[in-house]
Amino acid sequence: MSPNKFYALLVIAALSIVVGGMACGDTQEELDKIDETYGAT
Amino acid sequence: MILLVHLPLLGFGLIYDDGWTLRSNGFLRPGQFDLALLVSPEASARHIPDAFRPTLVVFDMLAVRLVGLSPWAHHLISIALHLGVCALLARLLERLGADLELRLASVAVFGLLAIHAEAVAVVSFHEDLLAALLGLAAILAGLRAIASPRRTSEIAWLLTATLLSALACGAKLSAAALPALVALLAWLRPWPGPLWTERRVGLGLLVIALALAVGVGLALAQNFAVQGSISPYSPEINPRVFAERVGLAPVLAASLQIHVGYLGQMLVPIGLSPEYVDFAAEWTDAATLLALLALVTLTTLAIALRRRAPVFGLAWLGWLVLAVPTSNLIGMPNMRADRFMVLPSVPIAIGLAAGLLALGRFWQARQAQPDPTGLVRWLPLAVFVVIQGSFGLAAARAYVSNATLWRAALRRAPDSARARAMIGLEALAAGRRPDHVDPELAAAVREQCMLARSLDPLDELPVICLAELAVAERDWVPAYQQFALAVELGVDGQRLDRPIAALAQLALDQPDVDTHALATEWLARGLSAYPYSPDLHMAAGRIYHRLGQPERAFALYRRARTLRPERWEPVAFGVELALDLGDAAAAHRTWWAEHDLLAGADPATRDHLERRLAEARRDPAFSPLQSFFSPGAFPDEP
Repeated sequence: MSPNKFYALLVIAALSIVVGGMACGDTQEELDKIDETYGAT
Repeated sequence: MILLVHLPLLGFGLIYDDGWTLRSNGFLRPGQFDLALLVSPEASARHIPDAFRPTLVVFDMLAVRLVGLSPWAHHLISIALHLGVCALLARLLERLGADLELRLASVAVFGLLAIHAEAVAVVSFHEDLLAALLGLAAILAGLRAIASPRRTSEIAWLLTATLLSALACGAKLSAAALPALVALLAWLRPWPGPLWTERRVGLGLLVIALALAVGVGLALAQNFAVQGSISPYSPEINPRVFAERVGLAPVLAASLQIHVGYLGQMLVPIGLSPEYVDFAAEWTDAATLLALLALVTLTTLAIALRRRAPVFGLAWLGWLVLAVPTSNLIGMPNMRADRFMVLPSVPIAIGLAAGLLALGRFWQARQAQPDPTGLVRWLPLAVFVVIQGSFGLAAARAYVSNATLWRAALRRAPDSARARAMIGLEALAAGRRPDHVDPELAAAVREQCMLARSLDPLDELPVICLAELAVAERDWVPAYQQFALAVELGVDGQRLDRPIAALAQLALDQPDVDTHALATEWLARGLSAYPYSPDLHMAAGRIYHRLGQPERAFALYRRARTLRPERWEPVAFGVELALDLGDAAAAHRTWWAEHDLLAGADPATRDHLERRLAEARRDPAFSPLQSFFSPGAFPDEP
């Protein structure tokens, strides 16, 4: 397999992961309205 | 590929402890940072966040100076650290003699393992990535010593290894087990290669292990210097550690189950969570016995097969060794967290990669038709990393914001007191109005706070939740009582600056007491214990302003501004104080100079100040030229 094909496969795999990650996620994304919290660890 | 997969993280916010360790951490700001403090008990006395992790504090200071508080830039740093760990893993495997296929596969598995979502997506967990990065660098530096032709360069590389090990443990003590990993490598010698033909390589590796151990000792000495204990979570410092409540044996029994859980999640990434509730288990529980059986069986197999399958031996025994620091043998405030697996997953990733490649080769050999592309051999690995990467990215989406984080935490761990309390606090902060709170919202928040309180009566967060609710309802007496209880419960004293600031302000509205004396008493206590808290200095300035002590109020506003220059509040209060003192020139100068910052102020404050400034301009004595040349309310700082 040529290096170009290999790199193309890597990019395809990365995009599959990004799409898969978006599809699997069930979290509604929203940024905080406030920037102060008490922290919790 | 790993970079591409992690790019969506650049849109995430600063969450979790980022407020405490970065945003409101005045110690990181210009003129405040003092390296010498990080090796002195003063660091604990002044409640410098993460003072027992000096490498992390220095790293955070440099990051804040370099990129400010821009969330995307901090996430880019996280991704860079993760890529750095991947690169060093590849280099280490090369030095140990692993072939290119295994190096590539190991990096792909490690880089995309879903369990790393938390460590890469949350900025305040740079500690885990730094410990891994510096720890692997320490081993590589040690290996350079073996290959050094001259004694001087050998010693120089060993000293470098010691320094890097100290820095790794200074980021997080999870790196303290790395000397044992090096000893394990000397015993197993997993791959043939030039390294293993070096003269006296076994002895050399043991010397490297010793050099790394000296680094661990230096980090422990720093911990002892700062807090009088080698563990940041020893009972005298943090009596809320779960083992202190139920005893070590039930915690260790639970820890066995937890570690089998980690292994399961590294194979099948289901159930990853930002929050796990601490629990105790019996040694006679079926789950404990099965976990013990699995761990003992695999350990026995790894030892017995160490010559025939050394990579399996390295993967399993390496994981065991690297998991020891977070195994709850020494008390931890969280018994379980996904981020604890960053370093221990290194040998697991190597073992998984070797197994997946072997499966691919086996499958390829069984094909009836020859496979000219060679893709079949890589298929198991490709499927594994695509699944892991997808689940990892999905898990990472819980860390977009505090709201999403605590919602996800509550979904995964409904019995978590802190998750419930944080949900209550978030809902209150997002929904309250300046002068009132909607009764329905108040009822919902109260329910969360009370439930959280019943889940863990020793946690101060549910009490703070109730206190903040009482403040929103303008119920000053219960608010004071709840904040006082929170301070009493906050045994480690790490984050009590904001409750103390609230107590000082509420003290002024308490009946039947000398309110001034009470407020100043809280302020004296708070300001000496939290000299780097911008919130506390701002509140103190407000109180002294109200008590008619302008010089003191100005000094506190100025310090609050120095500790957190991005906030408009101290500047607005400084303008107001200048107007109160009749110094219209200084007020106008600051108002004009800080136009951009004050544009972010809340409309009520802006209107109020604009009205007062306009009033001041009507005074015949007012001179715009004099205002222009005035040093303003903040002449020297930040």
